[in-house]
Amino acid sequence: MKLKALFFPCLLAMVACGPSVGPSSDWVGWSDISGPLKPEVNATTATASSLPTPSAGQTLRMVTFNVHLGEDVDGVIQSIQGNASLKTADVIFIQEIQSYSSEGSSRASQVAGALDMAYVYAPARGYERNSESGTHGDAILSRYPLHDIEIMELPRGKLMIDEERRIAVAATLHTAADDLRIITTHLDTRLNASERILQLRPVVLEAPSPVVIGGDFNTNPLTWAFNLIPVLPFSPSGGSDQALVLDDYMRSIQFSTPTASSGSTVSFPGVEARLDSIFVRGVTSSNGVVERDISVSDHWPVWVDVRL
Amino acid sequence: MRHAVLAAISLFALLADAHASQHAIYFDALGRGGLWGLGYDFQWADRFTTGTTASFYYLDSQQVLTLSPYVTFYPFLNGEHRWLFQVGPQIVREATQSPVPEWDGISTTGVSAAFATGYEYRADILLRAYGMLAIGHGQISPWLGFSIGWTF
Repeated sequence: MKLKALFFPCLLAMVACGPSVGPSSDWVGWSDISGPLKPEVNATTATASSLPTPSAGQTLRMVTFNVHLGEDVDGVIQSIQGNASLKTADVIFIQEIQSYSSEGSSRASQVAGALDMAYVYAPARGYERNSESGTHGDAILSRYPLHDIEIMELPRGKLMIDEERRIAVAATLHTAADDLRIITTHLDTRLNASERILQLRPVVLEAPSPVVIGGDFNTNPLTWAFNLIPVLPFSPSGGSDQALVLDDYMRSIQFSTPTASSGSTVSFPGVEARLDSIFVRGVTSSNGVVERDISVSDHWPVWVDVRL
Repeated sequence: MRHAVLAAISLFALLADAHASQHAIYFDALGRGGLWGLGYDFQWADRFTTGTTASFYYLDSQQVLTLSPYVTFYPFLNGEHRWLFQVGPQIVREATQSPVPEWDGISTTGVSAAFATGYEYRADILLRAYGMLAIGHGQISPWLGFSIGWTF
């Protein structure tokens, strides 16, 4: 309400309205969350339990993939299984996946089951589809057992419309080297770069190393007026690319940015935008690769190889 | 060679048709500056002007500075009423001020090409309504602009 009251004075004066996101919260163990947003966890599988712990110097393939609701679950599964680079993934960060009880099991569990991977699916919010209640959230799939699974509610972007609960999901992989923290998140769309940093900051600033963070950071090439109106003509200049800004912030807190040169990760016509990224700290990584042959989502999957 | 001579004659004819220089200053709503801009325009021939629009403002912690020089061509001209085509680069500089102590902030600068077409009324006052396309980095973005100003 306060923001709406500020809208017209800001519009008239064309002066600063400071970055606006809500307060941050802490990581919460998944089993401490109850109710409709309780995470769904299958922390290991028979295959995962039988695998030897990843050794020092071993390479793990990390993929991040916004599956655009995951409506075509079989398409998501086939796109991963049918791609030589993705089918060997050790960890898959999935954003924007949904779950409806009428489908028997969550879409994340269906994908994880088909790929024989452990998983956590954390709903960020409820979702209505044709008068059926479901959930919408993020997931981590892993070939290795998942430990210390936690969820964080992100500071809310103070958007004028469609303000949504956003989360980060974290887990730990035990390795023969240091344990590896893996985190995924999906940030708001209509934020400017400084607000985006404020929304992500609680997730990354005190993350233990080594850590890999992959997700849909929604680093669009737009400047937003009042978190509502995209100032379109700036985008083609490249001068408003939020991905460059977020990369710079992450480097300032000692993260590497292996996907900085990966190019666009979305298949919208006439739009070049690197919305999806992977950041690493405390491990080395190959450069990111975008799999642009995959058409099951409006995002393309991105992957890196991380050396423990 | 023949085409070059014809082109030179045509250009000379256009320039010879020029009136006395006409200056204009104007305020742009939306347009090249994104949300707003201030512009100067110099008519150096009946069918041509050269000008530039500049803007500066803050959005959240984004400091936005734009500069958009352009050339205007009027393919249709009837007294004060004109149809315009404009082309020119658009330079955008955004400085993101850091909202946190661990980071210093960053500035990014980029250039795109901007094309505009629309209606102009040019007498003592200047009125324009135009659509534009900004093109660059594999992207095409549409936008609108409205100008009001004065000639002198």
